[in-house]
Formats: sequence, C-alpha cells, structure tokens
Amino acid sequence: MSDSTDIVALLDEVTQRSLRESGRHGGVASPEVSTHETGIGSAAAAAAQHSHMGTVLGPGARFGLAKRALLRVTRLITRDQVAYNAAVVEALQSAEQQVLRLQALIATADVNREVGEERITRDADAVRAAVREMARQREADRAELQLQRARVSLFLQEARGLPASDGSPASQPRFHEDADDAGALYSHLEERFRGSRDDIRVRQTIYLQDVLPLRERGLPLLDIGPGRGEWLDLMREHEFPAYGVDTNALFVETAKKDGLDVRHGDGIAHLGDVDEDSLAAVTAFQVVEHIPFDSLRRLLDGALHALIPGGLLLLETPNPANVSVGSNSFWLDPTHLRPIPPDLLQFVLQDHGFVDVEVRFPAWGEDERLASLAAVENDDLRTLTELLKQDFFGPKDYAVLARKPAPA
Amino acid sequence: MRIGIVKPDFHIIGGAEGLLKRVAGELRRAGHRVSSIPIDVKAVSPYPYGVHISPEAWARAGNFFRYMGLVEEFSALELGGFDMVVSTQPPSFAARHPRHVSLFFHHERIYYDLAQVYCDAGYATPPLHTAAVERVRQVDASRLGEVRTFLAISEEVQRRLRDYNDLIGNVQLAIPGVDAVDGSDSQEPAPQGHVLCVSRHEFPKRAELFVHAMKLADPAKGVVVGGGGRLEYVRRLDAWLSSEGSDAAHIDSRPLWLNTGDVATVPTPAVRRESNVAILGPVDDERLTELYRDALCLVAPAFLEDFGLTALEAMAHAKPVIVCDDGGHLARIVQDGVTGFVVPPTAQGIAAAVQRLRNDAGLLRKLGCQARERAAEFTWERFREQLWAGLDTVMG
Repeated sequence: MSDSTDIVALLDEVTQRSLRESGRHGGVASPEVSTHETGIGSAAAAAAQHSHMGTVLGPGARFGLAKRALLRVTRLITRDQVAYNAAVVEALQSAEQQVLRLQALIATADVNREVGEERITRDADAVRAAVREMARQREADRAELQLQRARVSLFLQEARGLPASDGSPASQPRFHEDADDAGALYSHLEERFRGSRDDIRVRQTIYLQDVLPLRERGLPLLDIGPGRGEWLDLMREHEFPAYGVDTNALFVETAKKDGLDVRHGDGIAHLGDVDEDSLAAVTAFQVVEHIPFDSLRRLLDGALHALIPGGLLLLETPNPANVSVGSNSFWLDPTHLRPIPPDLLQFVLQDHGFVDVEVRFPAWGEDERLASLAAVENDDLRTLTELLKQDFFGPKDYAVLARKPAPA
Repeated sequence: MRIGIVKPDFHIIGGAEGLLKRVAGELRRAGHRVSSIPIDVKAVSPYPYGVHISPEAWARAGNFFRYMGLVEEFSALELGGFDMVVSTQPPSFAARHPRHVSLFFHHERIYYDLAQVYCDAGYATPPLHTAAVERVRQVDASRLGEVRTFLAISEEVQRRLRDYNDLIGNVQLAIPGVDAVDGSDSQEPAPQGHVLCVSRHEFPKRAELFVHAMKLADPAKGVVVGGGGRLEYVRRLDAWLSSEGSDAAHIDSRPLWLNTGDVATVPTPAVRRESNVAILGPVDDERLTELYRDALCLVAPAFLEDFGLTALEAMAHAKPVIVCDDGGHLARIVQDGVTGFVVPPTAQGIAAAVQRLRNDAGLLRKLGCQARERAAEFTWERFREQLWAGLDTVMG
C-alpha cells in the first residue's frame, strides 16, 4: 500500500505536467467514441477479470486445501504468468486509449477539414470576384482612356479644320488624318469590337455574288476606308482588280505590307478625282456612320460620277434597328457620329438617283440566350421571342446595294 | 458562426442537459451551426498526462486523477475550426479557444465549497484531500484565466467564482428560467397535502434530513422523489427512524447525512412500523406535476445548492418552500416568511416550519401565492437576454 506521501507525489507529478502542458494540442477523447465501440475496452475488462486465473481460489471451491497446496507448488510458474497477464491487460488498456485518441483525432480532423474546405472555397470565390472586378475596372479604364484620346484627337481635327484667324482656309480638310492617336485608336477599336479578320472576310463573302459579275468589265473596284483590308484581300483572291483609300495611315501601312493597293487619303475626295465611269464598283464597309450627312451626300455624288452605268455601290453600316446595337455597341466606337437606320440610307440612295436599291441583312446566328425560349410550346411566348429576335438579337450590320442607272 | 459546446458526458440527462439543449436551440435559431462536443467521463485515460497511477493511488485519489484526465482531454481538444466555444460543467472550461464563454454551472465541488464536508463525511482523508484541493485549484486557475466570459447560473455560483478565483469583471449572470405552470396545476396548497422532497439521492442533497424531519412532523405525510446512489441508504434510514426505539426526536440530524451512505451503518429496526414517508424513487414528469400540485409544500434540504430548480418548480405550482440557511442559492430563492421558510439545517427546524404551514391555512395560502409570484421572476426570456449579453462579449 502506498502511503500518502507517494500519492501526493503522484498528485504533484500530474499537476506539474498539467500546468506545463496547458498549451498542448493533440489527440483528444472523441465526442463520438466510447469504449464499447472500440471492442478493446471489453477485451481489456475480460482479460483483467481472468488475469489472476490459476493463482487464487474462489470462495466456494471444493477440495480447497489440496488446491491451495497445488497453487503453492505451481507459484513459481504462475508468478511469471500473473505478471505477464497484468502486462497484457495494461497493454490492452493502453491500446484502447490510443484507439480512442486516434478516433477522436480523426473526428476532429474531419470537422477541421470541413471548415478548411469551406474557407478555401470562400477565399477562392473572393479571389475570383476580385479578379473579375479588376478586369472590369481595367476595361473601363482602357475605354475611358481611349475615349479621352479620341476626344483630344477629334478636338485636334476640328482645330485643324477651322479657318485660320487671318481668314485663310483650314490647313487640312476634315477626315484627313495622319498616323496619329485617332488612327491608332480606331485600329484598336477594330481589333477589339469589330471581329477577327477571318470573321469579317467570311461575313463579306455574301456580297461576292453581286460584285464578281462586274469583273468582266475590266475596271477596278474602289473600297473606301478598307481598314484592315479584308475585302480587298477577298477581291485579290477572286482576281478582281481593286484598291482602297483610307485616311488612317496605320491601316494604309499595314495593308501595304500585306501587298494590297491601299492609298492614304480621303476616299470621298478621291471619287471626285477619278475619271467619270471609271469604276466597276464602289464599296464602303463601316464608313458612313463615321461621316457627317453632308459627306455622305458627297460620297453618293462622287459614286454616281465615278461608277460605270450598272456599276455597284455597296455601303455597309451597323444596324440600329437592333436595339442593342443602336443603344450600346454602336457607341463603343467613339469616332461614330450617328447611326443610320436602313430605311434612311435606302431612301437617300434612291433620292440620289441610284436604282435597284436593296437593303440586305447578313445571316446571323441564333443567340443562345434565346434557344430555350424558342423551344417552348406557348404561342404567346414564341411571338414574344420572335419580337425579341428582331429587335434585340437581329443582325448587327446591314448593307445597302444599289446600281448607277444606265443613261436614259 | 460555427459554435462548439463542450461538456463532460456523465451519461445522465439532468437539468444541465436540458438547459444546454435550450442554449443550443437558441443559437441555432439565430442561424449559427452548433456542434456538441461531449467527452465521455468513463473513457478518460487511466494515465493522466502519461503518468502511471498505481491501483492504490487510484483507490485513494481516483477522483483527482479522473478529473485531471478530463482536464487533459479538454485542454487538448483541437477547436480551431470553431468560431466560438461554450464550455459547461467542470472541467470543460479547460478547453482552449480565443472566443470562449463558460456557462458556469459550478466548480468541481469536492475541491471547493464541499471540500470540508466531503472529508467530514468520510469520503476522503483530510491530508490527501487537502493536497488534491490545492492542486486542483492551481490547475483550474491556469485554465479559468483563459476564459473570456463566464455566465454563472446563479448569484451563488457567481459568489464562488469571486471568492475562490478572484473572478469578478468577466462574470455575468445567466439565470435559468422555470416553465410557467397551468392554472389547474398551481392551485392553492391544502393543509392536508403531502410534504414533498424532490432530490437526487447524492451527497449532500440531504434527503436524510427530510425523512428525519418528517418523523417529528407526524402525522404529516411525506413524499420523496428521485433516484441516486444513496437511495437505499435513505430508505433504510427512514425505516429505522420509523421504528420503535429509534427515538427520532432526540437524534442529532447531522450524522445522518454527513456520511458515505453505507447501508450497513443503519441499524435494522427490531419492530417495523409504517412510515409516514413514501420514498418513490424516480418518477415521470406527469407524476411529478401531480405531486407538486397536491403538495402542502416542498422541502429542499440540500447543502450549498448551486441553483435549486426543484424549489422554483414547486413555487411555480404555488407551493411554499422550506430550505436550510446553509442551502446556498436555495436560501436566495426563498425569502423567509414570504415565499416559504429558511430554517437551520436540522430536522427540528424543518419540522417546525412544516407544522406552521399545516396549522395556519391563511399563511399557507399567502406564502403559496407569493411563491408563485417569485417563481415568475425566473423567466426564460430573462435567461435569453442574459445569455446573449454574455455571448455578445466575445462575438463582438
């Protein structure tokens, strides 16, 4: 029997360890685990019950005297056995505690993992949102910068186009601009919003049927404002003699590098410079929305002058009948002056004397946002979908094709 | 928020468990995720802090080593995944968390307010227990100091935190409520009603004091409700006190309860007589309600009670309550001569109070009525407000 001093020493030992290890983190008894679940607990209890087997007699044992004598004789052997049994019991109890601790560790690790995963997901969402916001802000800043540059550029153009204070004519006509910021801006806008070169080429193929029959006339096609030169490239591919005139020096330079005949200058003015009846076709893609109405009229006058009878005038421009274009995408290009509705352009051409005036909408893909609506059975909804298609998801561009009339 | 409620699992469902269920429900209703983290007291390591404890040491100081094993387990809980932790019974306050609120029911009482009577009763020997008391308080202090806010369940428990641990500034009250009682179940007490004692039969709830008192209050009838380790001891004691020759009127009450409840120490009565006390053991809620309803009064004889739920339940049933002046929080709940009587912890003191109630119907009615009003002050609404006030100090 230990005396109190020994036990107090144990109290001290436990107390000191507790005080020292108050900050320890590690295995824990589990909320979900009990000794019953481990199985080891009951094994240990059973082992403990029988650990003294063969060394003691039950109170009611028969032949107690003889058995006790036998026990005394066998004590040499059973003494070690009892010690061994006790060690096994202790080992089982220790193992049970370890199992409990491990299970508890797993249980708490599960909770912590769950929390960790939640935090990672939350953080990742936050990072994604931040990146999206930064990208949005960057686009907004870039658009703002481009707008400011364009404003400055237009201001410079206006300033150059004004008569000098001494009454002498302006040093440069409007829409004649060297490779300055405005040119660079427009080049960027084309890249950003118009579409890739290949896209544009594909879109323009719908006009080949109108143009190519004129090839046999042996006269060239003039493309006003060819930009990146997709249409001229298409003409070259179909061996149609064609050249362009562009005010944007950057485009001219690039086109020349591509082996295209593009001249730097004002295309509208150029029409007045060429001989009468000297061009098979005049085309202008995405040009008329950049120029004042007077300039449009001058362009039509020039085309009537330069085209051969039966020659083709093709003007392509954004389609403001598509509300999304008219209210939004049209204005993405700050050099756009005003949208021109198809009916207006058609009327102006007819009014100028062109014949066979036709408004043509290129084919356009179904917007996937309407796909699910289009599939529904409800007639009202389908009607509404059709309206939506026309007014919001219709063609982004349209063209007016017209012929110079033959002489009376 | 993800909130963990840590508690030692004693494998019993009592008042504390009911209260914690209510707290968890309250937190969940507020949109928090609540996890219960019980630690099975039966599965605590026999090697606290890796120290090998001999069987002799276990036999003489098992409570200490078991307690330290629990301290170790709670200290080692990995609670980083929780946003807040609520600890409950001792020593769950050893759980470590920066946002730690301890809903403090009581200390490990045999090392605090019951340390002396525990030895006096013979459960422990003074030098060894005194050594254990010192060390437990030392270890507790190291853990209690890390708790942000304490919510003491009564002024009595609040006082103990102040007196034993110098904890004042971060101790608030969260006093549990008592459910309102239907009018039909809270009728006026009748002088011929039984005298009720509702108590677990554990040391030092002192049901022994009650059965002794009832012998002196004969012909009043007593009813004892509750289970526990000393139930058989109380039964035998009642049988002996009822017998001829026990001379109940001249026995000192104190030795009857201040012992380890060893049934062998109770003399076997030579001639049995019918007792005026019915010892029912545990009963269901419905039966308990009936017993409250039909009672003359409740006697709550416990020593240094933390809270005193049964007293409040009886008062909600419009019954006066007799408590002892060393009854801890019981003596705060009951106002002497207003909602019951606060008497010396003797059979004579209790019996005299019972007789007063039996003999004065007007007084009985008045005290019952006032008791019901007093119980109505212990609302769950107040508990909720106090609970949130405490939780807000760490949620902030």
